[in-house]
Amino acid sequence: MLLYLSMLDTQEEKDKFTEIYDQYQHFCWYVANQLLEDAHLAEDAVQDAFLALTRHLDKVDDVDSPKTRKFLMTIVKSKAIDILRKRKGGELSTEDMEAETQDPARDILDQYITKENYNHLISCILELDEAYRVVFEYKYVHQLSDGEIAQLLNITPKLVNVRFFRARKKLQDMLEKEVVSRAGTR
Amino acid sequence: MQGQGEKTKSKTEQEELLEEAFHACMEEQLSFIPPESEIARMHTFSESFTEAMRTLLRTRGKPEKRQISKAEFIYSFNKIAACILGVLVVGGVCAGGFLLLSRDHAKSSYQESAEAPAEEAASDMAAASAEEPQESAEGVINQQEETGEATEEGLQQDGGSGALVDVEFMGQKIHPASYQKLPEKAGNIKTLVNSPLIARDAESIKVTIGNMEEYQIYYYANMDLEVLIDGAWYLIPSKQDLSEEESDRMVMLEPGMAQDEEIFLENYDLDFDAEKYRVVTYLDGWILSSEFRFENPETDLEEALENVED
Repeated sequence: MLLYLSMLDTQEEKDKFTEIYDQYQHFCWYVANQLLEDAHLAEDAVQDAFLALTRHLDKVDDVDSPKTRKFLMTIVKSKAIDILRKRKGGELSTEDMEAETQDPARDILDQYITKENYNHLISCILELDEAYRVVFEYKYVHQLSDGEIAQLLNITPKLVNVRFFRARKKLQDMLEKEVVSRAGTR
Repeated sequence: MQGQGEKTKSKTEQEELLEEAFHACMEEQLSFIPPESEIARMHTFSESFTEAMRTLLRTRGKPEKRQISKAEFIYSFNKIAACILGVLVVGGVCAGGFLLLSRDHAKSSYQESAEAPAEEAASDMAAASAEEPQESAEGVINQQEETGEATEEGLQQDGGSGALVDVEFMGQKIHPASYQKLPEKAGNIKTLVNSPLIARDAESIKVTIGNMEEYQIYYYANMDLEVLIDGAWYLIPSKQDLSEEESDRMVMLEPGMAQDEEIFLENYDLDFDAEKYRVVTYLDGWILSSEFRFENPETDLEEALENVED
């Protein structure tokens, strides 16, 4: 059946959307500009972010809350990264995706995530590339499913999984290096 | 089992640690971002961005690619209607002419083939020539009368508000609707009120516009509400003070999609006992209507009982 009833546009939703925009437009631009270092491209990222937000307004409970601020930051960062990715030459090919299918045996990130390594974890996350960080943020901070992330990023859930696996692998390598080097200095 | 339980537990702890760590890192990142007012001084948004965001805020992400004024739309619609009327008139004239010609031809053939005596023929001819002007005059009058009736009927069906006058409704004068007879669907484009029977305490009614055609269509988000009084439709004025921009807002509907629009009843003075109401939707090239009425507990109960008895 081709007929899809689109989501209702209530006045409440419109007001919420306008309020979010009024409150965070400059903040979003600043975040995007930090990544893109181009004022006009940053505007494009803000526009993309708000367009994506229109479909996920239900995830915003309180406009003023730090949670909303964080959610917007992740969306706008991911949109800025999309713009950067497009400028640099596109997405992974299907072959790359197949080559990078998950191998649980190689994923030993959990072994390094301990309370003792918490500070190492923090320093690794701060050094982690934004492209990887946003995937983690969507998953762990905003608690979104692969399907929801896929909708926000306008990609397939499979590709979300590939990006997540890549991000975990990257964090694992960084953490491994960090833990080993700190152990060596003791 | 115990090992698996421990593994699950430790995994949850690791996820919690990851969550905590990412929260902390985001907060650190946020702490370096200056307040909104300071960033606003740093950067002024471009005109194109402001315009795009204004549209996005207005439509909340719904596509709104083209805007034409209501006057422009009605002008186009009238142009199409005039063309159709023109074709019908030309067709009618041609058909009438053809009929008259064929009748004359049949008459002359009959006269030629008749082998009556000369006198008889002469008297017949004289009688025929005496009757003919009367007959043709009657024919023209009848034809005009027929055309007159048809035109009147046509007006009554399609746009005949000319014969109708303003009526009193809920303490105000209301005008006859521009179009009395309107379809509910055109091809595979359809409008539908959420229920043909609306509760008296309903705050709004929802109208679904469905486009099952293979092309995109545009419609006016601002719809008309009309009431049926003594067999004629009348436009109920809205109390809402809409800006020109709001009243002219058009919405694009992709093929295979449907869109809901809401009409808030507080914006109209309504008589819940009126026979029928309809919502008129203006689409590009079509005007569609969708009928409903307000529930009447007494009548509806009687009808229900009658149905049960039947």
